[in-house]
Amino acid sequence: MDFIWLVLALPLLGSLLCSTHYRALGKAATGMLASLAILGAFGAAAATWFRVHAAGSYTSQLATWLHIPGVSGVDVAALADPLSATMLCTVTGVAFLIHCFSMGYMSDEEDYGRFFASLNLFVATMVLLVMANNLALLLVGWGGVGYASYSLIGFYRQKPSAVSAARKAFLINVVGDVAMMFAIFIIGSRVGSLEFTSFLGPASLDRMSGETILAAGVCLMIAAYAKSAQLPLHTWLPDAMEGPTPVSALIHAATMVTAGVYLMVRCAPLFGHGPEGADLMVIMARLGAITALVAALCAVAQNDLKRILAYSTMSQLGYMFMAAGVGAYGAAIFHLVSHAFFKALLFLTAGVVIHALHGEQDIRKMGGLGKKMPGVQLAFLIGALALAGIPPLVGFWSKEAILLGTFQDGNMERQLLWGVGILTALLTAYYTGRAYVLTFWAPARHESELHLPGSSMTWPLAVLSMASVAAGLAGHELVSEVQSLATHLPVAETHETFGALQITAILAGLIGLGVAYSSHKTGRASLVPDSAVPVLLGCESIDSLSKGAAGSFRSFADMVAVKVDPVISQQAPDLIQRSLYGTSSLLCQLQGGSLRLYAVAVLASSTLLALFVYGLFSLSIGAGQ
Amino acid sequence: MIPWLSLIIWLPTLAALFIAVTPRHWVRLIQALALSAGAASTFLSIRVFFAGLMDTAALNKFQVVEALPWLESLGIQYKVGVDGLSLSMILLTGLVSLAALWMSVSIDKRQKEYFVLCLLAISGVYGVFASIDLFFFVIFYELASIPMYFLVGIWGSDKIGSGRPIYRERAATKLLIYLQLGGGLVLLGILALYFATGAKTFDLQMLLQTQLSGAHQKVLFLIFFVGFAIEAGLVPLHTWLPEGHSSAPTPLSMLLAGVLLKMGGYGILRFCLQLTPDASAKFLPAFAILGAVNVLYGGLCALRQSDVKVMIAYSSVSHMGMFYLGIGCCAAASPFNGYGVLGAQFQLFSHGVITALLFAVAGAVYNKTHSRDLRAWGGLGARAPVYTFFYVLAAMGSLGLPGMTGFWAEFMVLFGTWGSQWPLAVLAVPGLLITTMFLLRSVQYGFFGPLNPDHVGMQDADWWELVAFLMLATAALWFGIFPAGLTATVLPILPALIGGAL
Repeated sequence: MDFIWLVLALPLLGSLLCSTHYRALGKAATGMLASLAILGAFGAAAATWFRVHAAGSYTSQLATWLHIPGVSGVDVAALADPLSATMLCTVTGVAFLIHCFSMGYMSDEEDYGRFFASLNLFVATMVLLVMANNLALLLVGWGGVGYASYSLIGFYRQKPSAVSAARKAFLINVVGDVAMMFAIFIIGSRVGSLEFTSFLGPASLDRMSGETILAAGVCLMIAAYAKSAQLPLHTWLPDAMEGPTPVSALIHAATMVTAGVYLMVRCAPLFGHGPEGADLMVIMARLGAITALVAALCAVAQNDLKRILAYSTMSQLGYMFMAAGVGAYGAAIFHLVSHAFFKALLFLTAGVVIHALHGEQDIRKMGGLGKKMPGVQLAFLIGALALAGIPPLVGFWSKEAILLGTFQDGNMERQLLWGVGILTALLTAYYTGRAYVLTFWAPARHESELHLPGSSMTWPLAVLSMASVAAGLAGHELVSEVQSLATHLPVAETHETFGALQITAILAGLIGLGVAYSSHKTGRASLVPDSAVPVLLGCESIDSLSKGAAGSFRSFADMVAVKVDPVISQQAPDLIQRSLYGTSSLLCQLQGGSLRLYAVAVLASSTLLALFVYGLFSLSIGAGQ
Repeated sequence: MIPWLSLIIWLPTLAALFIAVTPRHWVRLIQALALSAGAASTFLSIRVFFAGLMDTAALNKFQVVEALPWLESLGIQYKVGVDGLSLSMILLTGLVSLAALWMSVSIDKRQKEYFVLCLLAISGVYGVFASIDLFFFVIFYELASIPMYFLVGIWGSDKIGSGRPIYRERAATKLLIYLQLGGGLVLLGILALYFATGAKTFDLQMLLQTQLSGAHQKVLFLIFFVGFAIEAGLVPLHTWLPEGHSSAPTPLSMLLAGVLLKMGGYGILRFCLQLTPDASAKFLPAFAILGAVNVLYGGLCALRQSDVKVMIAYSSVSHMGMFYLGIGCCAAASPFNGYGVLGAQFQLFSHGVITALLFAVAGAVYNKTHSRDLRAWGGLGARAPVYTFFYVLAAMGSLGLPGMTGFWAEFMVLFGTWGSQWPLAVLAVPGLLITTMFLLRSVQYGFFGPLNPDHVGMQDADWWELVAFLMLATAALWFGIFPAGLTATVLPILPALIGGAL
């Protein structure tokens, strides 16, 4: 028994206690209990991290879970290596701050027991996903995260739009679960083991044919894309904003969307094997770049503060997938960690703003908040600058790591990807700046009394801001350090000097911010002409496409249920019944009391009998001779 | 030595006899008698299950066998016992029947007759799973199915409203005709077996020793398969299911979906796979396509139902499709063929527990709201958190959330299918998504959203309902977290089912 299991056990225990004892505990204590559970988990995760970096990776096995002949590795076992330890620390650390924030944010809610129980369960399932040492256990966490997000996105149960959003998120997550299940089938039936260290070893990979790697890789990618909201399985993410804001922060920063990136990095040897793996990586990089760009365009056209942030997450995840696709795994994880911090900061700040404005989420109706909430403004500014990639904040270094990892001299495709990255950075700076300016600087466009946040809501913001700044100031040294620490995979060759590439990226960020400031400081709502909005919302068209598909599917189901099934279950039995009745009434007529019919029957049957007897006789005589 | 198995089987009958001589207005005594007999049987079945789990290696043969001679000249005797195939079925019957008896506390008319019939049916189900003698198998089979006719016809409910009406008398008649048709075929098959082997015995242990010729196997296989498939909801023989399940009173729906459907599945495993292995290896892989059809067809029908009980009934059709898919891999040339059968057996247990829970919650809500229409429920989550919790839990188990029993069944079945006939596994994938869709849809319309003003005064679960829910939910979670507890009992007998070692 290793203390890595505490990382899982404490949130699970917290979830159980919160769901059963919330009445006895009361509001404050329930929130406190949930937060303490996560704090304990964070402590255990940090201890694991230090142990891994002092003594190397290890596996802690509790039990063999399911003994099925021919396939090994379906165990309850945890893998502690730099990657999982880093992820565990990030997940629990950010989740702890979000829990603390929620205590203030959700203090008016009735259902706090259910809220904190689900929140703890969310963290527990994510922890299970990260620490699993085999695909089967990972799948349990994978599905569990889907369920927890379902219950939290649909937390406001009485609101139909929230419930629909939750259902959509769950359904798309099930697509990912099924894909993952098939990845398990493919790998399990070819290699005979589901354990990462075993099936990702060079010997096992050599045993897999090219097609197997292709099929398994595609399944893993579908699973990751569904979980990480990448094109074309992204449609649930913007809708998921129906949940309470801390939930959005948790989904975007720590517990959900990062799972896909983690899976890709975890299975890196599979994608690095053979020409098929290389093909898959090219697809991954291209799709990542496209997602980054398309989502950024979409964010430009949004007016809802939370939806802007949602699309920005999708865009940043696109960066991470691009990094994984070009083999810059360290950069992908580095960006994942730094993104977790500044995106949590942004979402929580947005939560404070929305809370203060009594639920108003439209940035066109905000403004002037900077003077009234200077601290919140500063926090949002730090988050926004990090997202825009302005040095010396941490977002700059992690994004630079990805862009530098992507760029390659003399490789046209890589340079193109880099170009898309820069363009996305420009757009990111613009829409982040726009949200910031319209919310805090522009003239106020609302009259209501502000609902100012309590200290339980502000100190997590302070911690996250300081983390973003401090990590950024530590700066350049951190980059290669974290990359190698996080994955132990070879760090891609980067341009060490501070050169033209970085300057371009910084310029892109500054230009974006400048445009945002100059055009929105007066409170002008949008720079984009209305006619161009549909073009920008390109990725939402997939949503309407899938709605259309769902509609035609529904009519197909209607056809089966209303047209076909009654034939099988009603009319066919009825037909048999009617034919039996018909036969019966026919036979009944034979005994209808008609004397003539009886006479005919007697005559006919005695004739037939006589003929039959005669035939028998002649046959037996024939046989006798 | 105490005959545990016979006690399990006959205690409910004993209680039924006592109830038959109790004055009808002593309702509490009647309920107490029924519940204590049911609880005793359940307790003993759990005991037998864990005793079997202690020594799983021996489960490839019948254990705790009890035999009494009866008509020796015809080779008939009373003989019961359990092996790896039936052990978990006994446990399932214990759990579902006791939960159904707890839910029966809400029955408010003619309790005396109700409990007599209900307990007789429970005895029959236990007997079907435990009997080694095939003559008694038929007797128990009839004992389990005949009371259903009265229970549905008298204590059932009509569905009048949107969609086509369903009347309980008609549903009961249809149910009995279908069950009798299946039972008749099974009887025919058993008699054919009696003469075909030449052993002149109904003793399954001895019949398993004999060798059947290829032609005999084929004929017997077809008779048994069709006979049991009627009961186990194979499309297009499933049509008694939606009407029967939806008209039945809540505890009966639980029994029908939880264990009666499983008698068919168990029969296929026992008779087709074990007695006619060559014919099974020939036919079942082809019949697996019917399983895929079941999965999709049941799901599509369930997607468009507004009546919650009809929806659950169709979901049973869909889930039994997984069973047929699983046994379809019984003899494929893949080294992973065993998983399919293992998963199919797992599915019998898991679907039994989870569907019983779904029916229990749906029926309890029906008792409170007097409506089975999902849209007429509306937002019950605000008034009834307990119902909501258990319904969502059952829905998650039913759609195969990783970590619950339903997941392992699906996982193993699809793993086996993938190894043997991968296109069928791919074909079943839309079925998984459809299942998710209709279950989430029912959660959304029934329990979430704005509260229907008609139900503002609705009460949450009564304590006896909570007991029933907790029993079933515990089983669904327990074997999801410890799936090895079930697979370990089946693994010893698996070679006998798939015709060779793994």
